[in-house]
Amino acid sequence: MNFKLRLWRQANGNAKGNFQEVEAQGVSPDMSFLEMLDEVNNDFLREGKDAVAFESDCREGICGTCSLVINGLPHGPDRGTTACQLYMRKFKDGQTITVEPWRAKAFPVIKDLAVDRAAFDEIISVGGFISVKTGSAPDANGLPVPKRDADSAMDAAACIGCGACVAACPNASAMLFVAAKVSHLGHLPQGQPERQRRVVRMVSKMDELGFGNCSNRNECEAACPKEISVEHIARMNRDYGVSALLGTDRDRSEAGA
Amino acid sequence: MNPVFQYLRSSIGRKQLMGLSGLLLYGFLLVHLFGNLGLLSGPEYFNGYGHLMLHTLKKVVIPIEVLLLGAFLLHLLLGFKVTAENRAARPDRYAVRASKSPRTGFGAYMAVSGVWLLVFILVHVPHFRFGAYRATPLVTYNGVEMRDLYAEAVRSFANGWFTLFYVGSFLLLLVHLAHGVRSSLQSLGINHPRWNPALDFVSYVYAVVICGGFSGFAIWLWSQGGVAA
Repeated sequence: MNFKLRLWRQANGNAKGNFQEVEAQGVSPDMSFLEMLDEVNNDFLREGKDAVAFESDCREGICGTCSLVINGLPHGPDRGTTACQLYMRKFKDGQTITVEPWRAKAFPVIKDLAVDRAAFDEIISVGGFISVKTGSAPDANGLPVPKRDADSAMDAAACIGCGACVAACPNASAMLFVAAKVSHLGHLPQGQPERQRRVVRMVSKMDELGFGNCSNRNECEAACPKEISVEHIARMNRDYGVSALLGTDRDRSEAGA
Repeated sequence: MNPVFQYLRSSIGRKQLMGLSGLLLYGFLLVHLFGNLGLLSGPEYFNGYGHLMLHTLKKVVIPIEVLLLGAFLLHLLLGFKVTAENRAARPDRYAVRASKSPRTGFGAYMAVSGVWLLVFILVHVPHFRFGAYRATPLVTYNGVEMRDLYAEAVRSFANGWFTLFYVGSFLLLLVHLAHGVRSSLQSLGINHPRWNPALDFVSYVYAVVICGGFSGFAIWLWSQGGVAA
């Protein structure tokens, strides 16, 4: 298969970027999108040119490192799929494919298609954890969790923190990511002691970092490679209202736990 | 920080206020539409209703109007602020724009339809509520002099452009409500897989009834051709 690629090239966060047009020829339909880019980069290196920077790690859809907006869609046209699990057979031979980085003020470009998602780590650091004693695994049935709660927590915990929700949101809002983290811990008994503190602090941090506001367009849910539902956003909205207005001063303080 | 202040400054708190003020305004539209039904009972009934609301019951109605004005201004200011922040959150736009969400359609036009509705309200409220732009004719029933809002409505809607402006505004209101009602509920945390289809249905039907109802009255008055029925 042959493709005409328009790749976003930007030397660093302060440089002005533009598209570079490249022909990708002899692409196997069974290559993943990232393998196709690897081949393009091999050509670049053979010709002594600067390879295009993009991020990847596990290449099996579970690490959340790949971050490409393909023809305007984060992770490409498939539902519930990361860019590394997107295969070239999904495209038409001869098609023009535009590849851009996640675009959000809170995710500055590092180089080309790689962006800095440290903002997510900052959000996690103010509440995306439980302060319990670590050690050996607890007894299997020592702490009963209703099946429904376990399922919902698991759905939210599927979040790999890739940031496709922010990339897809017309407002570059991080609500689905934060909601997934709040919901994942908030559904479980281990998450209860810090439930109010967690939601208030994580939302405050999210606002502070320059993510946009949620306007319920549901683009995040549609783009999420783990298909996390906006139901979790509704749940966070409820939790936030209650916690912000009724929580104690300690719960509302912006300092870390 | 004061909890209420912190809540009002947060993105979620503001969205919830946006939703609550919107729902209050939607509720008012239903009351307004019921009032318009009085047009069908003729001038004496309709003018009497207007006189009752704006004169006899003014000690009750004016505080409600102030509340609605407050909700309206809050909705408007938050709308501008949130829209500006959202634009700032993505300084560099995508070269290719695409969508996988079935719900995004109407949501893309909230700011545009909202600004249009602001213009509509600036035209409509001074005209019919306060008799600005031109004096509302007066009429006397049983020795009580009151504004002849019926005649003013018939006279105004006889103009095709005026009617077109109203009906066009109601279409944009439909766009605004089609996204706004469900979005308000989501911001307030109302979302449950069992009830979502019903919530979708009710909110769309509500939007269609409101906008269809108002448009129906505008077109009906226009079709009377300036002659009081």
